[in-house]
Amino acid sequence: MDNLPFIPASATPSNILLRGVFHELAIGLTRAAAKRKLVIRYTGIKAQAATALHRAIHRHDPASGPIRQYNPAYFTNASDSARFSGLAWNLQGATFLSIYGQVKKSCEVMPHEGWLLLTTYNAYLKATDKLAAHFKTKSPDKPTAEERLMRLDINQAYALLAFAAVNTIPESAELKLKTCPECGVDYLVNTSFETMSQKCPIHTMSENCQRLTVQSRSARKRSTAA
Amino acid sequence: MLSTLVVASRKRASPPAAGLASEGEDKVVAINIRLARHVHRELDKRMTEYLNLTTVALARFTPTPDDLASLLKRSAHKQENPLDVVGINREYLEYLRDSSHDLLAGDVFATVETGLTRAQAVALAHLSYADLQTIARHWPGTVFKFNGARLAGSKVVHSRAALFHTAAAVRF
Repeated sequence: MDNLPFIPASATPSNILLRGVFHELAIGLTRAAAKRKLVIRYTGIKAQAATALHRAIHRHDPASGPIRQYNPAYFTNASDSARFSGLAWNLQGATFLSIYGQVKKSCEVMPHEGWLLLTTYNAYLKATDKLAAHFKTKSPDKPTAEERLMRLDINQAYALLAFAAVNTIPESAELKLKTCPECGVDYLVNTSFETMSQKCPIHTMSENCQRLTVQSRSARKRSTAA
Repeated sequence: MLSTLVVASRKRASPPAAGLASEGEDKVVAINIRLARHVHRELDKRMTEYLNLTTVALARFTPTPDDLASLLKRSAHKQENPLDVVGINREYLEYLRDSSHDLLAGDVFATVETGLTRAQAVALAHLSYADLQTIARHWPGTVFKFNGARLAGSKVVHSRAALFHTAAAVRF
């Protein structure tokens, strides 16, 4: 993955000196499969050029339609939190947001939103690559629901940033990061519900696994006795 | 213009050489195992499995750029670290100096991986081997703060949940 040159928030695509950097950003976003509207919004390139770029990189037309907005529960998966994959999904969103905060904090000058989104997304992929590869090699043909590690795509990451209100008023955020005091992991909580009742996904996963181990052991004992 | 950019992007789309990709990752694993051994002395199977999947360093560099500058300016040093501390300090400093070069070259992930600030990276990138040796020998104790709680936190949960812990705990 190449390093994208830093783009400050004050930079505009109309600046002739920065045109090349914005084209690099457009290529990066298109390669990351960002929606065409997102590429246009951040880089100021024309719609036709964005389509041509998408065709050249992905060998097919860009998907039509608006950028999907989702809802906060989609990321916390509060309605389906007992499922292992749902818990892992919450952690994926939290990992992305956590990295976003760190990258933003490390910049001396306020960065361009598009640059920040793309560089954070690339860093997020790097941070989760090993785990994804681990699951892939464990059961390449038939991944179970537990082992299927889903990662955010860049459009979901963009929607997540809107819910976390990172670039607007943090108090209005519908999703917030909470740190587990026991295992130190950040996880997403939905501010519409009582945040205290939303437990750490790692601990919920652990409890689920322990319960399943006990159940399978007792089932094995019963079958041996029979 | 567009065609040139497209050609450039296709060139970049090719996967990186396997050796190079794994080399960077292994550096983090190697330093994490080395640091964990220094702190815990012996690592069990679960700890090793956990460390093999981590993507960020489990330690953070404590001296500020001013601290480093004032230490290197001094002609006489009161502090003399034991050999094992000098060894671990030097290894960690060498790893950080490499990562600082990546960070200054624009690799954003290096910030997440090491937790270095830009000012720390600038200071570290310009240090010679002799400077690293001086810091390793004369800094009061270890030059890092090891996140032992994170490793301990991974042990109290089920081994399968600990796998997810490796990728989710990216903040120190």
